[in-house]
Amino acid sequence: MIYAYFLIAIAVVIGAQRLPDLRAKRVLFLLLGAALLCAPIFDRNDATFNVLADAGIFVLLALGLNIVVGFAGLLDLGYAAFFAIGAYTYAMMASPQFNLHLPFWLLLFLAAAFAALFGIILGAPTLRLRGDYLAIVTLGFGEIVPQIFQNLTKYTGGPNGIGALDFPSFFGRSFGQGTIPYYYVVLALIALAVFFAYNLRDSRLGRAWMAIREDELAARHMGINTTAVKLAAFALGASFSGLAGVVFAAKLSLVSPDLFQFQVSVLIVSMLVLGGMGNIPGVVVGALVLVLVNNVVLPQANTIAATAGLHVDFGNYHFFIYGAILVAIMLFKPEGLLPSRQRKEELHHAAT
Amino acid sequence: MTPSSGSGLEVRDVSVSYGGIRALRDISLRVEEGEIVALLGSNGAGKTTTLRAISGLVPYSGSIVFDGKELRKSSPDHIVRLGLGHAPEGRRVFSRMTVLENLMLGAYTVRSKQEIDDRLAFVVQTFPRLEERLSQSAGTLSGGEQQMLAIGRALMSSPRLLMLDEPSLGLAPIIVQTIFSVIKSINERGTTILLVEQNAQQALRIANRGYVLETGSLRFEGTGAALLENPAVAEAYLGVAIENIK
Repeated sequence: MIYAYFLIAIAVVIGAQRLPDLRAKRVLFLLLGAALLCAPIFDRNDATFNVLADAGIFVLLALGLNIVVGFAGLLDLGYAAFFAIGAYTYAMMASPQFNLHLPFWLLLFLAAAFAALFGIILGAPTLRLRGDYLAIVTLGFGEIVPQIFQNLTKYTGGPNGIGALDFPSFFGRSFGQGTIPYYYVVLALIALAVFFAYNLRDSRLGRAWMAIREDELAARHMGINTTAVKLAAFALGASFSGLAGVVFAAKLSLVSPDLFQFQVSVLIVSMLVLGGMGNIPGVVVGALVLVLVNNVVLPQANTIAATAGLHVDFGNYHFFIYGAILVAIMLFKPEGLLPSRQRKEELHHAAT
Repeated sequence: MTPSSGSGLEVRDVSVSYGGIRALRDISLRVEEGEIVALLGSNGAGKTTTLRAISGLVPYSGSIVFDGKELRKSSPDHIVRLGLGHAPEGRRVFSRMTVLENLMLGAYTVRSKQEIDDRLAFVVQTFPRLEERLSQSAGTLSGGEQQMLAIGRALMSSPRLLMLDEPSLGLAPIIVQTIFSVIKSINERGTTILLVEQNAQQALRIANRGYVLETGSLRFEGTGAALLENPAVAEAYLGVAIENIK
């Protein structure tokens, strides 16, 4: 059953890409949205919506990182840091930790703002770096942030993290233990994020990002303030993961530093590479495919193996499996499953 | 006579160093409103560095004044906004974007939709070839067309002074002719031009005045005709025998 959700969503996004007519595309997406909204009426399986909400959180993360890596071309290998900042914002301000019990909805905004602020703080020292050097420094930030949360034991609970986070409530009704309310929140945030991402892409700022991605010096000749434009990419990209972090923390009712390790950053970058960097439907598909593999296919493979009397944990091989998927993509479709026009040209017509 | 208000540029005692190596040594030059001024010299003489200093892309000592404003403290984007356009060395078009997207990026500093439309009309009128290729990706253009795009893109910001860095580089002689005649016509329609070239003969034919740089220092200056006729200039820095000029 869970496969049906993923496969339909992936099929609709890929199918829509092939439609030439913009209106037909919109109708298709509205239909998908409506179907997803109605799904919990017919299907009351909490576990299903738990996986779907997790998938949605990764879609949000992929959309956010796509702004930094896909649009502006700044390879960020420490994106999970902003996810952690979002999650810890909720954990510290809506839990017994400081006896602060700020409302979930307010914290969504606050966390997005915090993450954006840290996007600027961490982005500023990297402005003169490009390519490999930028990747290394951002990787470092990605390591430092969970380390800080781990060691500020007094405030963050150290390695144990913070538990017993408040359940969000909506007009006085608590979300409780169910996963369906989170699923709805995630759907709404994705709709918002997709809308926002498209508008950014087509904005003046979006064009400036494409320009610095292609040729930073030429972009400066055009009168683009590359400093401001890059910081905007870091800030806006980070704000998406701030939102994702809040929902993630609230749903799990727990945060701890090991949830935001380097693997998470790698996973999100892999989603972009797989789906098609820079292309919004592409990164959505990339996120869905990898979550499907990670959260559905691998656990199921474990069960099958167990019934066959084998004791293997395929979860241990997930990096091997991502690696195999990425190598296959690089060999057969290096621009990703659903590439943007520029990316396609980049890889198929050698630059002049 | 001092330049009238608008697009006068005055470079005074400008020096640039790249990591301890002096690339420019006390360069002074001026471009007056409505002129075409050629900046000549061989490879590594400092021509591109001079333009980069004017555009604020490299730090320098000395003073550069455009339209009465000191540029030394200004950022590159602010300098574009002040009305200095710069078509960079090696064209540097955004090869994966369409011609139209390239031109729109050229108008990045322009906020008014109406002004962008006017500039686009001006550019396609100047380069009809670009109009036919607006939706084509820039990487598929020929070298000459890419140069036209690079100039067109710099024109999109409505510059009052346009700096062109070796527009003839790597182009067939017949295309070079076209490019130079277009530069002249852009100038006749009111844009002041500072032209960096290795193709000295062609450049001096359309230029009012010229400067010759050698290893970071100014060696000669004068009117286009005077420089063309100066045998020392021709022999030493323009790389042509005197007979060929006549």
